[in-house]
Amino acid sequence: MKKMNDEELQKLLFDVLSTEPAEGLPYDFSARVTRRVQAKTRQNSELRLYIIAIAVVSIVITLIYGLFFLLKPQLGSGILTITTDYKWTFVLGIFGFLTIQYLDQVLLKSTFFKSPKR
Amino acid sequence: MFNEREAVTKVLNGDTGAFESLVKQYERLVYVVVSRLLREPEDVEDICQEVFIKVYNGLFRFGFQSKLSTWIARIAYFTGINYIKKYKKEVLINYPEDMEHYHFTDDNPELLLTKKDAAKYIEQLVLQLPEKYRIVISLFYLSEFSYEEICEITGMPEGTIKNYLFRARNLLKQKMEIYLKGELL
Repeated sequence: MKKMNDEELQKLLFDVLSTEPAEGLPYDFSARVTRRVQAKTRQNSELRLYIIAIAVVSIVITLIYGLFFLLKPQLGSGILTITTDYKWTFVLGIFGFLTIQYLDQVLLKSTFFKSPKR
Repeated sequence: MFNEREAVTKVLNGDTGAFESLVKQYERLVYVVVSRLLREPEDVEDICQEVFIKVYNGLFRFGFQSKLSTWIARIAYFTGINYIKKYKKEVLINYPEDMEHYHFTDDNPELLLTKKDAAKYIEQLVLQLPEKYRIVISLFYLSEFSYEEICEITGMPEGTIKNYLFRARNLLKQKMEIYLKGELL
């Protein structure tokens, strides 16, 4: 068989190095990434919404308390006593709600959007 | 034809369809960069996804100072490097300055099998090169980036890139000469 000269060898090397690998990403890769980005965006806007909702509720509760203390101090202190008595129920309720949200966002959705291994 | 300026504007305005087109346009480039850095194919897709999520989140910072492909390739390169540093510490080692003495694992049975095919043999040799050589050679030949663009992507000086290319090419040529002597003579 004929021996390859330097020029032919260079050409072969160039051709092979310029040839794209046969393997690649799955055909639906772009759709999968887009879905993941959409989910992340939705997650962020939901989080923003929760923060706004918590802030609004806190402000409203503070205002109501303030009004009670100003207009009907006895009723105001009564509500404060009930709140203090049941503080752990309130705390656990909020904690439970946030835990469910966390499990929904982090565990369920991330598993759903996780790409299957080839 | 893909208009990168138009695509970026649309993505920044929340058009997810435009983002999907952008991913389609650059997924091959990202795949080449990531797959040449990581040897484990099962990690490649996850890292590619991570790259495009970074692209999406950081697109507002892209000011068209460079080509979009260069910017995306840079993100892909550093995501791959960080992944290696984080999970595969043993892979990133300091390679000998004297690349002429770089040792290819010729005894690998897979490699011996593929020796039947010169092109596959070169591919196997490329995959055995150190990461930085592999990436430089891939960006230059496969993705057709210029020296300046490779500098921008990898952060390596131009002289180093030229040196890596020269050494890698020479090394591959030497190995090919030895191989072809055995096959074609």
